[in-house]
Formats: sequence, structure tokens, C-alpha cells
Amino acid sequence: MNLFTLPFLPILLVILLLMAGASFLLRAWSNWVAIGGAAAAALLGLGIWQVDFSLPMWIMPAGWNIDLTAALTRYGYTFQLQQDNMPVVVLSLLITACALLLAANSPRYSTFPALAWLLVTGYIFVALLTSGPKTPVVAVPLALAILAAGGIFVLQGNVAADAAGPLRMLLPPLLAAPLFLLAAWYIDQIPLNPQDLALTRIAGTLMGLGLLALMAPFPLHSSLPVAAETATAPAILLVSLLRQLAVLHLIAQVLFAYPFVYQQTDWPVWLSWLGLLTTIWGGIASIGALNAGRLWAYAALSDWGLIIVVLAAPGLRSWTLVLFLFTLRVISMATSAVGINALQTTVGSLDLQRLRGVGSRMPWNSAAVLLGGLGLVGFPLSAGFAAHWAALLTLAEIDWRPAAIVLIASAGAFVGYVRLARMMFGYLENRRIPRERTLSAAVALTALAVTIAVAIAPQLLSDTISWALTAFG
Amino acid sequence: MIEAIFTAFGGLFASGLGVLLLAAIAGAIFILWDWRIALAGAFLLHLGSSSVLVAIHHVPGLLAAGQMMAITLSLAILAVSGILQSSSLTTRQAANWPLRLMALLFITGAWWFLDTGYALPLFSKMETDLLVWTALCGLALWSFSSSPLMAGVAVLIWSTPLYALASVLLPGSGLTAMIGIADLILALACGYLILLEPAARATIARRPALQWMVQAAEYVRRQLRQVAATEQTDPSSRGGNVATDPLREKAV
Repeated sequence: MNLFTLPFLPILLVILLLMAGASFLLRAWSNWVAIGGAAAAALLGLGIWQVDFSLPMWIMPAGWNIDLTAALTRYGYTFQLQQDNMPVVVLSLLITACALLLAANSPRYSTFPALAWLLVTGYIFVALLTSGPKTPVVAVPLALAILAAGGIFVLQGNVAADAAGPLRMLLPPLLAAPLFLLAAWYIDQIPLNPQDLALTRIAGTLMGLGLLALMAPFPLHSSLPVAAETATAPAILLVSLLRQLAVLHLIAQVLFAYPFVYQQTDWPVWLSWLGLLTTIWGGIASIGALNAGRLWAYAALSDWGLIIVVLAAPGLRSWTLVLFLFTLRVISMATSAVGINALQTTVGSLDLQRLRGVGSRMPWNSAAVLLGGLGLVGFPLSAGFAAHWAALLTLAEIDWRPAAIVLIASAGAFVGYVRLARMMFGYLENRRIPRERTLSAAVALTALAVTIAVAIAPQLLSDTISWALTAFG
Repeated sequence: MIEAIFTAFGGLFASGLGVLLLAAIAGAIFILWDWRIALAGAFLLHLGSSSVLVAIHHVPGLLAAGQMMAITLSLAILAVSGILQSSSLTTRQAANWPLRLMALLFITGAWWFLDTGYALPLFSKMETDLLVWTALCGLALWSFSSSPLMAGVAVLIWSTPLYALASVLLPGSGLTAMIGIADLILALACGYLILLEPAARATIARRPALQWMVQAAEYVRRQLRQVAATEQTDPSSRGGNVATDPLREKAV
């Protein structure tokens, strides 16, 4: 006997907001709140992963049912859990779980769990947006601007520091917003005059430029490298990966709904050039980086440039590659973040001079920083190698020159990490640096084990990527 | 009632002179680089822009009122943050005004040179020019400094064309309300950054507006003090003698 059928999305919203509220109220015990939040986010993510869309009802005791695919409509905008947005929701929750787990090791930032829950709530509901009074993708840049403003609170973390990095994060979505608004008007005109190719060309150009701005390639990239010097590693991990996942999902939606964006414009050419410039700049800037956080961000930038280049030829094959690169990016960045977080907490700064010899006191965390960073560069025997190698082969099949440029840029980032390794495993000047705690070493060891496992057997990820392709392919 | 107010303002701003005035305000915000003027200027820009939308494009007065409410609240957030953390502002001076003027002239020249004659759909060329100019001034304001207060003002100036596009090109989409929410949250974030800014060291002294008068008064005071000191050390000048001056008597 069915007494009540409850829609899933309002329940999800209440759970997420309750978690944020509870995390804020219990912030005095921030370590335990972060660990509990990580477990909750992981459980929620894995629970949604198990949803079978052929049986979209969870039957609860006492005749209660939860309708998993029920739509939630407010002010003309409809949110719904579907096959093509579920992987994004799950990945967002898993990234949040990862960041919360890392935050358990940074005691100076007690409001992070609450802010992380609020941020992921926003990103999840952006992913769940399925229709609106106009084409729903128009609202996404504005939503991303709001979430970027939320990211400022996460990044700054109540620390009196330079505001340049967080401020620059606002620029890409705000640049994209008017382009999307204008493109939406042209898209509305297409059914009225389907023969007019100028309409599709203008709409495609505007939307393509908006997507480019949202991807924050060179020269719009500078927010994270600047912020990475002072912000905590979990904050950087959370803010950057959630935003990039949302942008990739938006690109997939736009290219599926409006194929003229890449068919009738020079979008692929712009992507190729900007992607190459981004990866080159990431490599060059890594060589001169004087801060481990900045080096990490530049290596991640170089990797992001490669993802942009691969996106230049949209199709099933390239989306598989993009997801492969992105999944390994998450693993590499998380591994690096484990080490950077521990170094930042113990040493108090990520300046290379102050990290001199730290490897002798904190070997496992130093190894995590290096192996995670080398994974972002695609160094052999690191997590990112398989994806980078596949991407380079794909590029080289079309034209060997971009592949060579990516390889040279990766070499630049590698040089940066060699400098870091020499510094960390050099002579220990600051003898007051304590030895790493057992728990911290255990977390670093776990991260290293995951990275090495994925590096040795990347096929472990093939099922996950095939499943995630439903949202992008 | 609301529409009547905006239509009345629209009568003022929806003319050649009104558009020029708005463009001049946008440029002046960048050149003068004073946060109080910037906040007032951003308010005037939005008032002018929303009035023009109501008067010419018949945008509902309620939408324009919503825009003004969101902007006023956002500006109030920035103003309060600026007042509370005024010590950090002096270090964020973005060059001097001649350099900013040159930058603006360069932007104007480049825009004039590259102008394709494009007009936004449903907008006149003059309106398009005003919106583009406003957006360019907002971007210039943003790119010349990493001060969160000026960046907050720049975001609000940048949102002027956003409101215009959303309310005229996409009516009924609810995007105008979303832009208002975005403005408020962005202003909150900028306010948070302003309050967290490290306090400035007093390396750059602020010059009062009427500094020459202050300097003149100081000069007169110094001269008077010197005269008084001379009179004290030279008793003959004030008519003293040995008999009346005990110190001098002792010396003699």
C-alpha cells in the first residue's frame, strides 16, 4: 500500500543544506565534521550511482516511496535527475568527499566543510537543470558566476591575504554571461527563419566564445595559480575541479543541443590554439615557480590545456579521452593536495626556500606532492601517463606539431618538479620542522597507492569512464 | 506609479545628452578612481540605464525597480565594507589619473577604429554604443587594480548591459532576477574580501582636497610662532629693561 510518494530532489536539497548547517554549527570539531562530511558525501554519491533508471522508485518501510526522477520546477526552471546528469552529480559529490577528507588535516580552517557543502549543492543543481523558460544553458554562466562568488569564501578561508586570485575567478563566467544572453536571442530566432544561416553562425560564434571564456584558458587562467600560494589545498582542489567539471558538462550539453557551434564556426581552431597556449604557459611558468602551490597550479594548468586541445574535435572518441584525462587529473590533483596540505600545515608556507630539506622529515607527503604533480604532467609511471600518452597519440595522428608542443610544455613542468624535488630532498636547514605524524603518513601512503595502482592498471577506470560517458557522449 | 517614476527619469536619460551624460559618468568613475564617486556613479548608471529601458523598450517598471533595489543593496554592502576597511584603499591606487585617461583614450581609439557598425538586436546603435562603452569602462576598472572594492564596482557596472540584454531580449525568462541575485552575492563576496584585506602601511599619504589652504594656514602659524620666539629672546623688541627682566638683571 503506497501512502506517500516523495520526490527525491527536495529531499536531496534538504540533506545537502542540513549538512551545511550542521557542519557550521559543529565547526568547533572541524576535523570530525570534515571526516563525517566526507563519509556522507561519498555515501550519497555512491547511493546515487546505484540508481537504476528502469526502476526509478526507492521503496521505503511503511509504504513510503521516493520517486528518484520526479522533476522539481520553480519559477519556470525544471531540475530533474536523469541518466545524462547523474554522473556529474556523483562525480561532484566524490570530489567533495575527497576535499573534505583532506580538510580533516587542516585545522586552521573550521568553516570549510559548511562552505564545501553549500558549493557542491549549487554545482549539483546546475547539473540537474534540464529546462527553463528559455534554453536552460543560458542561465548556467550566471549560475557559475554566483558559484564563483561562493568559491571566493572557500578560497580565502578567513585569512587576510591578497585578494587578486579569488577576484580573478569571477572574470570568466561574467565575460561569458552576456555572450550567452545574446546567443539565446539568436537561437530563439532560428525557428522563425530556418533558412538564414547567418543566425546559426552568429549564435554559434557567441556561444563558442562564451564557452571559451568559461574554460578559462590562457590568459584568463591566473586565478588559481595566484590563489594556490595562500589558499589551502582542499579549497583549491574543490573549487577548481567542481568548476571544470561543470564547464565540461555545459560544453557537452551545448554541443549536443546546438551542433552548429562547432560545425559552422571556427570554434575548433580557437580551442586548439588556446589549448596549446594554455599548456605552453603552464609548462613555462612551472619552470620559474618559486612556490610549491603555484607549481602545482601551473602543472594543473598545463594538463587543462591538453584537455582543451582534445576537445577541439568533439566526438565519442575525444569525449572518452577527455573523461579519461579528467578522471586521472582528479586522482593526480588529490594526491598532490594530500602532500601540499600536510606541508602547508607543518611548515606554514609553500615557498620553495622554506621547503628545503623537508623531504627528510616528511618523506611520504613529499612523495605525494611529487608523484601527484608528475601525474599532471603525464610523466611515465605516474597516474596521468596513460591518458597523456593516448592524447598525444591522437593528436599526432592528426598533426605531429601540437603533440610535440604539448610534450615540450610537459617537459617544462617536469623541470619545475625536478627543482622542487632537489629542494625538498636537499640539506635540511630548518631543524624545527617536525616529523610527519603517523596518520598523515598513512593518508599520503593511501593516496600514493591509489595513484600507483591507476598508473599500473589504468583499465581499472574503464567501467567508470564508460558510465560517465552517458553524460557527455 | 513605479513606471511613472522610471519614465520620468527616462525622459531625462533617453536623449543624446542623457546618453552622453551616462557615458561621461562611466568614464569619470575610471579616471577619478575614488571609491565614493565610483559607488555613486554606478548607482546613476543603473538608474539611467533602467529608466531608458522602461521609457524606450517598455520594460515593466517592477523589473527596473528590482534592478535598482539589487544594485542599491549591493552598493550599500560595498560602501559599508569600504568604510570599515578604508585603511587598505590607498595602496590600491591604480596609477595616476593622466595614465588612466590615456588608457581610456586608447580604448576609445581602438573601439572607434574597430567599430563594425554592429547594433544589438532590438537596440539602437546609440544604445549599443552606450552599453558597450559601459562594459569597457567596467572591464578597465577591473583590470587596473586588484582592489576588491573597485572590482565590486566594476562587476556592478558590467552588469548594466546584462540587465539590458536579459530584460529586452529575453523577457519572461526570469534572468533579470537571477542577475540581481548574482549582483548581491558578488557584492557580498567582494565585501568579504575588502574586510579581509591586509591593512595598508601609511606609505602613501592622502592629500586633502583643499590642501593649499591647509598649507597656507600652517605657513602663517609657523611665521607667527617664529615672531613670538624672536620676541621672547629679544626683550628690547617688546620694550623690556634690566629692571623689569629678572633674568637679564642676573646676567648683568
